Amino acid sequence: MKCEEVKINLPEYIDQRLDEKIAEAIGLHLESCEECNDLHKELKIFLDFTDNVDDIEPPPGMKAEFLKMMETEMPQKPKVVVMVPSWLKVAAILIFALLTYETGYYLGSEKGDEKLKALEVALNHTKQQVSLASLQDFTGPQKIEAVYNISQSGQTGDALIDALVNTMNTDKNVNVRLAAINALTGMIGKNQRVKNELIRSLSLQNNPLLQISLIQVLTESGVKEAKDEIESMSRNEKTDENVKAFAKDMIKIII
Amino acid sequence: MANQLSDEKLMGQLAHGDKNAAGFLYDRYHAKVFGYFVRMTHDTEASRDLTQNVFLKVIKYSHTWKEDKVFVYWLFRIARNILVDFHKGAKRFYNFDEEPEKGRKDNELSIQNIEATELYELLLDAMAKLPPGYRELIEMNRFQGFSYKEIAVTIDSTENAVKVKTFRAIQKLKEIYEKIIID
Repeated sequence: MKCEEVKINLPEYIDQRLDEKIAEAIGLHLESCEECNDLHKELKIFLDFTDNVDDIEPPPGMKAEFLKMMETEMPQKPKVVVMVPSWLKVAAILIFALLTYETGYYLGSEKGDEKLKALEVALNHTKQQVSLASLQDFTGPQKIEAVYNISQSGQTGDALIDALVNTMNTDKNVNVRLAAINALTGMIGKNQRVKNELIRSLSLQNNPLLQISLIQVLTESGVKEAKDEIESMSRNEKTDENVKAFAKDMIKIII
Repeated sequence: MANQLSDEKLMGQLAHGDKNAAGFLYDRYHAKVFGYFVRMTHDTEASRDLTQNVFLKVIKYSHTWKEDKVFVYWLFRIARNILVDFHKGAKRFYNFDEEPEKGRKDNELSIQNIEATELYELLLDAMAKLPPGYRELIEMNRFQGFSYKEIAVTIDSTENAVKVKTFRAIQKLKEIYEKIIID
């Protein structure tokens, strides 16, 4: 057996994992080869050391933490998708059909304009209810669509803002949160509370992309009240380096 | 008794929805997986989260389990994938220069015996200086006790290639460790 072959087999020889015949051949080689014998002794001492180092003790409480995560993060059974629209959607379709009929009927009549306005209000209210329900129950892309519908409705009622703020701060999907930030941005000039909620969200978001988006909309919209919070972020050690750099640049716009 | 069943039988039960089986598998392997991450990342805090992720993925993908698999190889394949994702994320959002310092502090807190701590830390330092491919082979062969054949199955390689590379990895680790001791 050649030296190179012996050397490569030494770890398994030390671990006694080789076939008997190969182990015997290596043993004979070691008796006659000083270089391989020295390497064998050195490796044996080193591997005895590495193999006998105590294993790292995991921190206490990991099992309890895991069991809790298992319960909260794992669904009990796969969700069954029923391809039936929710009652709100059915109701919206029926009302929409009825309103279309009534609109046609009343157009041209004396009370037409007045009635039409009332019907439009009712229709918008129903659309808003559908969008709010969608924010709670639907998947990411459907939620984004719902947020878009809300932003297009032009309304800025408390229920809508509550739903959007909640989505912006708590939704698991980053893209849905981003859509909520964009929708709220469109309402900045219409409702003072929206500004406050966007500023407050700066301290709640952990994702650098969302932090950058918030800084961008607040600075570009000239919300001076956000200055202190953005400055604080730019100085915070825990803030991501990219976010820090962006905050420092954008703060100049507000000043 | 469920806790006397083989890993593969427990995985079969988990695949059929019995989550108690996950608890038994966790008891058997979480310390090994945690040790793997600490030695690979040098970061105790991150290793805790990475370990939990591995076992959550075991549950999540239990429906893909096939009876002819060996659980421990499958487990370490998941751990490897999570480690790769961790390094990708670390590259994106953290300054790599700061990580070893953080890990060193963490390890100081977790190891009590001073003499053992010193030797162990020097070994961890040496491990950290190994190329990642070598580090993984040392981890699997010396710390997890995998044979070359078992490593080859886990990392999609051949037994002979693993044998040659592991020998080189051991030599390199020994060389770095001795240099650290002398310095």
